[in-house]
Amino acid sequence: MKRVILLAIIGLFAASPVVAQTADRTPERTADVSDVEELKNVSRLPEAARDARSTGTEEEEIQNVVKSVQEEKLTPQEGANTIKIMKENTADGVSNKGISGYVVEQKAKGVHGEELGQAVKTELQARHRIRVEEQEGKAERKEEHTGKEADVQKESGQKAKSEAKAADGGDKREKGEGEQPHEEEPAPKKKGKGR
Amino acid sequence: MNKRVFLIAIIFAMVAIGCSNGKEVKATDQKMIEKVAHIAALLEVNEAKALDMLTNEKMSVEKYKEIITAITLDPTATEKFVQLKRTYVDQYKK
Repeated sequence: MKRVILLAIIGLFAASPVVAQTADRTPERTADVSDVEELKNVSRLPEAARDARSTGTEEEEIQNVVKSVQEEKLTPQEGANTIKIMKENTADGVSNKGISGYVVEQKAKGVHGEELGQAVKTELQARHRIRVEEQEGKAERKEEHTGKEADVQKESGQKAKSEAKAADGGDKREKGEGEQPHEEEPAPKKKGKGR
Repeated sequence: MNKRVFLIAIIFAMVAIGCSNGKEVKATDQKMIEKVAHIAALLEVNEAKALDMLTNEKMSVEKYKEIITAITLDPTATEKFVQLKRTYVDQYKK
């Protein structure tokens, strides 16, 4: 009986790692010559991300693109291209906010490869234009507003001055300092003597 | 009764040890970064050797992709990977 128990323990000890490994791992394919291109594309992701980070590209967008590659929503090549476009945009001063969602959306619609890259560029440029126009519009409105305020202030200032003058004039009359200067009527013309 | 309990406890411990042996090394560990940096460098210099290394390391395409994307999500790991890859490429080209 004791031998049986001992053998059972040894057997379990030997078998449990194998069981654990096979339970954890789903069947995966070993690398083949046909996989070389895919492996190369995957290998380019870290460099693309590093370059983008060094130019100041939004970290959130980089993370979202890489996660999309992990979840197989994007191919590694599309992911690397998207990150490269984001880096170029950042260098041009264009924001990449929200572009990772747009890329996945377009991919789901069936846009892929170079077309996807082009769609991303176009979208980023369009968003940038809208933002610039909005900012210009805001600046104009601000100028108008400050201009109007300045006019209003001018008018109120002038009004205050004229009121102050009127008040001063009234005070002077009361004190008898003299009349306010007024326009004198022109003297009547004398008729000529030589007639 | 005590013997049975003891036996069950041992069996449970063995299974637990076995399960923990099945855990994989974290993608952003230094050794893993070095490994995949080697493979990435070989892919640029000698594709056949890169495939051999993948086979020797018992690493599938999906596994390699998983590790690379995990590294890319971590800025520090990304920096290490890129530097190591460049070093290895220079070494292999010599």
